[in-house]
Amino acid sequence: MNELDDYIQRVKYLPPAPRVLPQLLLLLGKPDIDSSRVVELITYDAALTANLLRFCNSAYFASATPVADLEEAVNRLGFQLVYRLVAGLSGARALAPQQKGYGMDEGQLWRHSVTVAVAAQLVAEETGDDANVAFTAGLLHDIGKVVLAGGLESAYTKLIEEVNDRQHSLLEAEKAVLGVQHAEIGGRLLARWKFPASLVAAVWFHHHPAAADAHARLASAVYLGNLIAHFLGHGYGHQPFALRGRADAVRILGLRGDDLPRLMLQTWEQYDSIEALFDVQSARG
Amino acid sequence: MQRSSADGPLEPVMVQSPEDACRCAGINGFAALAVGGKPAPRDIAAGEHRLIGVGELAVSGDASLTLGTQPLGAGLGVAAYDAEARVGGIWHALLPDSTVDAARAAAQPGMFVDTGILALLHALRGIGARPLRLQFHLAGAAQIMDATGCFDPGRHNFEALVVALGRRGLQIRAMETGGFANRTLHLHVGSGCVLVKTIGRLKETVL
Repeated sequence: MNELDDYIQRVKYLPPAPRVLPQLLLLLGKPDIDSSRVVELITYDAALTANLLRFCNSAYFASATPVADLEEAVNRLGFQLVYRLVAGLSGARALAPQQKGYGMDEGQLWRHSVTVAVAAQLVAEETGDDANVAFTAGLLHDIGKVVLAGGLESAYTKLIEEVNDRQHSLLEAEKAVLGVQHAEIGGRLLARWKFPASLVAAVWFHHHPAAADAHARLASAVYLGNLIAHFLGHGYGHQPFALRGRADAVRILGLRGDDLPRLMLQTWEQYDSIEALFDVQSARG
Repeated sequence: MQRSSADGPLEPVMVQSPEDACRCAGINGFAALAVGGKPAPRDIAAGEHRLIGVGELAVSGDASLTLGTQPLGAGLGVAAYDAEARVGGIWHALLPDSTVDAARAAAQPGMFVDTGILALLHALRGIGARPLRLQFHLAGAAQIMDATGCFDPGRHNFEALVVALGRRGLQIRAMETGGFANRTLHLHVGSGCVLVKTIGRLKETVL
């Protein structure tokens, strides 16, 4: 067993696995989506189902007739929207605990993660890549920090010194102080949770998309999503000091620098409506 | 509260270019920290604190009011203050150039530097400010990208504003822009005092 897998084994706190997501991604990736199977999968998680129905009946969708069950919800909202709702609700649970170790609070991590998800999805739609996988990878790209944060409080000051004084990137600082990196821990955790290899690679290499080999395009979408979130001021804690923006991802995806302003605006617009939809606090409740 | 080591207020200079703006800040380089000699902003804690959103601007002559921005990221925060009329405004621009989305620019001119500067000056004139009396303070414009020639909104926002101000003979008094930091900008309307906060750091700068 790899030493990092061993680290995950020993760690005190592991976020709750978003069990439904890997299988749901698989289902939605098929040309003929089996609606009854989608409903069956989500129903497996009672809290998720209750939350989902609450969303469907919220003012956001402004429907005259309330949605009574999941099947109706899927029919009315469509697979893509239902998927993003499920991903958002599951992601909120996984990203919920306090992450003091990175100088961020819960709300900031959530806001950052949702912004990266929206931006990565928009990038993937633009480049013809899998938007659902990009959205999910964006949402969970920093899940490794949730794992690391538990053991981090004592080493926190040292980590920030590394970043601020030595001008190290966050990954370099993590490696120097902790011996592990949040991106790799996140990738390994998602692999244990049986997410598809593309999503695992996108999270694992979200700071180095070119190294993701076959999945470099998806990792690039998450990389750009992360950049866009920071452009929009949706970073958190000390992370902005530690991020080094490179143009590799733009090149890998065949985008131009000129595409970024438009993607920034679209992300900002969609984030606004998603924020209204999720009403951050209640989503976590 | 951390105060700068700078002695006394900066002399206003005419800004014609980014290089001028950096000289104005008294520090060589774009990621400069510029600090004026204003008293500590006790007043900012008192009274109402109104935050604007991305792409929005607000002006006021209400002396008890503090206007502030959301975290700016690569967006540019601008505070403009007319000390004689005791009115001021704050503005959060996201992108330099309105040609990326003309419909958005028409609906929300503050989203872009080129249309937002016109909207800000118009709004300030409307409450009694005179543009040539205005003192501009800038914050934000984080520069996350390395120098690979890719689009860098922080740098482009800053450069676009410097050109827009220079063209009108308007002066930048102080700024804290560039670098990797995520900041917010606040203006106390009664005193003209400007405060920059950096997210994730116990640091505030009085501009």
